[in-house]
Amino acid sequence: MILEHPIPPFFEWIGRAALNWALAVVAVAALTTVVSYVFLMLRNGSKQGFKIFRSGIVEAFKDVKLFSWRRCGAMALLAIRESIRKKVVVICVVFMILLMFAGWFLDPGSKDPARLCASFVYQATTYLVLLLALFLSSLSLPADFKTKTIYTIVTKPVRSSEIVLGRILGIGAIGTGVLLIMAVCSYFFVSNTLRHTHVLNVGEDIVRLYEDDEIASLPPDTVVASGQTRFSNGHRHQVEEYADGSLRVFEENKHSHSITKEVEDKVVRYRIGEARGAMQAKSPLYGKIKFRNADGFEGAHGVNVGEEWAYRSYIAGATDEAMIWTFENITPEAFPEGLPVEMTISVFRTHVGNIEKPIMGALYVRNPVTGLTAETQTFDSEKYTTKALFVNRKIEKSMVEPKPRLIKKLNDKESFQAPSADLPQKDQYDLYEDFVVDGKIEIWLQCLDSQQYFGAAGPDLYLRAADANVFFNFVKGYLGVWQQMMILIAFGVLFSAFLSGPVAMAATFGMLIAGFCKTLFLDVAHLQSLGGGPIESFNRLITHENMMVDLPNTFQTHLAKAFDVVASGFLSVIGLVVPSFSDFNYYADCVANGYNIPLNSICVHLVTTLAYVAPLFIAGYVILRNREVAKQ
Amino acid sequence: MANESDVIVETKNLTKTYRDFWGRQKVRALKALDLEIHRGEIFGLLGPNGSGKTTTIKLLLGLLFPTSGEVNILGRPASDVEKNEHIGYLPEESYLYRFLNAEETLDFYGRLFNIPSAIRRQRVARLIEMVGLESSKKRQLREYSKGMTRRIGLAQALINDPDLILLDEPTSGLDPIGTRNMKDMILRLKEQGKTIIMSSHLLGDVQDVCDRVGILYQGELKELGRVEDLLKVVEETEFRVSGLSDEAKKKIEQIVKDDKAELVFSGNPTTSLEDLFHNIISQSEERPGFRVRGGDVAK
Repeated sequence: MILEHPIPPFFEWIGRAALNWALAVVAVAALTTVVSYVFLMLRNGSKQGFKIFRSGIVEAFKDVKLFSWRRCGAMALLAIRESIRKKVVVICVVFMILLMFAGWFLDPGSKDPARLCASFVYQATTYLVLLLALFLSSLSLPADFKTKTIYTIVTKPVRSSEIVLGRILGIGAIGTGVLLIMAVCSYFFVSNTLRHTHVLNVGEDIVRLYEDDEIASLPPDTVVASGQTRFSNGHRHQVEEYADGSLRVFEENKHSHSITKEVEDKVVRYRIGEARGAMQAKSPLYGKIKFRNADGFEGAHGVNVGEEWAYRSYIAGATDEAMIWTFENITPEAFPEGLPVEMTISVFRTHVGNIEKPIMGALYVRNPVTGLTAETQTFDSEKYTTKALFVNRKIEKSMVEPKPRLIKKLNDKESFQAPSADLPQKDQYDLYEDFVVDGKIEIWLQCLDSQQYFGAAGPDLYLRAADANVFFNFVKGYLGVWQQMMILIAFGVLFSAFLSGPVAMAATFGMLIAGFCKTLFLDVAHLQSLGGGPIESFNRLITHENMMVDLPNTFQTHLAKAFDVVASGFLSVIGLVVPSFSDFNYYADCVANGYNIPLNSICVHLVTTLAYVAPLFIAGYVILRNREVAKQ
Repeated sequence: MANESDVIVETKNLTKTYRDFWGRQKVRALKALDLEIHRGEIFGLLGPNGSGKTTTIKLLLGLLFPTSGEVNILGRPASDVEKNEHIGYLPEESYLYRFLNAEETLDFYGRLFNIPSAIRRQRVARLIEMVGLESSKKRQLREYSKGMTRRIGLAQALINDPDLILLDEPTSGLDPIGTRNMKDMILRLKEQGKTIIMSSHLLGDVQDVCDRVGILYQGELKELGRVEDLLKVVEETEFRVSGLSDEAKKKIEQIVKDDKAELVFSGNPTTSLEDLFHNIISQSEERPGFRVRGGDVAK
């Protein structure tokens, strides 16, 4: 799973985010107030204009003070009833039909079937629910205007804020209900798709390598029977039985199976159980990464290997360069047996060499204070292959050595902290006694092959804490869809407060598309896309100019570039306002890749959702409050 | 004459001009309307189509913003949402949610007034009974006839037991019986002390129920006053006598002649078509074999 922009810790993020949000909201509110005031003055004259303006402000305060949740609830209930009576639940039937036929086009032999299925259901749900939200939110209020039912609403003591919020909440409630139904259906679909077993017949599929009387004299880890299961769900598993009687089904397509052996009247039978581990909810504990160069200096970045994605930094092989993760809150209660380490390392080869031979690396644990270091594992690594290693709690003396460490830079003179002279001398070291200090430990990674590089970013290596509940994690995955839906509903209701149904729908849809393509949008806005800004690109399109070559030095080109600079400012502002809908796919990616969705990201995204919905609701209220309901 | 504190609707120089998208004047729907409506009266806004009746009602309700002038309704400006606590409104067409049934409709509007659920339930049942829709209270409004929709529309206007009721063309689309029932209902509401403002282009409706009328034409108030005062023909005198002999008639004609007055009309009076219709219907219900021939009611 690749996270280019890791989600920051909530409490680090909230202060700055809230400040930026407040500044943006205050700026928009101030601008709106000034523009409204000037407009009223021009339209009604200074005296009457001021009177209307003052009355508007007074009424706005009254609207806040006299807001009624009961009336808002009534409006929400109306929206729910309307949706149900207009049979929106049909969308659930469409979804179920889609699931029924999904098996036709989902490859059962996929290397990661859980990811394939989960991605499919999340995408299908996202499209359907967002479509539903788009229709309901953008057409509901305009329908009230068209049928004039709004007359019987606004002539009751209902405030515009209650109408707008009622719509948002009501349509949101319907969407949530639909989403929950889809979530449960999806879970059963994915579970059912992944559920399978295999046949393993003695003599045909698995061959015994030793006679029974020979086995007793063999070392316990000797393979005494070996074979492969029958083909099922597009794959088969390697199976081995060992001299000590243990059995192992090798992992294939990211899952394994339980296996039992039954002997009845000297007839041996193997029973393969249901697939396990196909869906996971791993809970990673992330550390902070830094890079150590060959001279021992530490910094935030390693080597730049050239025209590569800048997200990862690299270290050179067969040097002292290292990637260092510092973990906190490491306790024996959380990791009683030792540290389960999982990592997905990027490998950059400066020469191909033997392409089938993986690049070797070493993993160390290090005491961040004393410098006591133990090389616990060596491993081979392929590009972007997830490796799981385990650092045992007990570490043998032979693995342990002290390593120096840079601790400060003063007047450009680097000083090193020498490892303590009185490092404990033991035959066996304990992870928590000798390597963990105040819950902190360092994990170092080095590349062992000369002229090859390892690359990583912070989240690429983590400690795997106890897994979360798979079902709840799956349902949590729908939070991302829910948050996208709520933002879209808020946009839809806002647009429908002043536009006709089809136009409101087009505007909301435009916002959705812009939100999914926000990165591209911002690239265009910041004139960073190939071919220049929007006007220059358009110019290239109609003149059939290649986007890699400079345009001729003509007035036309200068004019296009000048327009682009103006458009760039405008697009940048829009780009800041448009929500990045694709960010919410993080949830689905987490579930599809087998990760628990952390509470931190849920909090960040929930606050982000609220930060959009709240001002959109206020804008909708202001517009509806000042709209002449009966104007033709 | 009502005193000033009884004025519950007041407009001063109320003007409404409709403009197009570019702000250009499209039509001036209401011109400098000055109006006072008193507590407890039935006030009729009369005028042909497009005269400004509905615009006036919409301005009173805050559905439209005045171009100039002022509106005070129940002592508050029209833009004040709180005034709606005491107002009931029946629009020209019953603009109701057609996916709701009668009970749900009234319950929904009751919720908008924050009426506690127990009282709301009682009031919904009473209003449904009042408008005669008990047997169809569970049917969605999409299945209702126009008359039934008008009745539930009136019920929603009364859900908050309002002090002021605005009825825009209340008899529009109703058959004569429905019209009569509506007018009876309006009179009953007046008896309960409600103030009613109704607009109509059907003169008979207004004449039957209104205490005062204002006649609008092309957005201007042309006439305002009590109905009987406006209809009174001061120069003429009318006697209605039954069982008068031909000889007595000749004597009366002679007296008129001697007084140098002019006999404008002499003959049998006619009833109104509405009265004739109701007479026929009520007689048909009483006597199943009853038939009408040649305009005469068969005995």
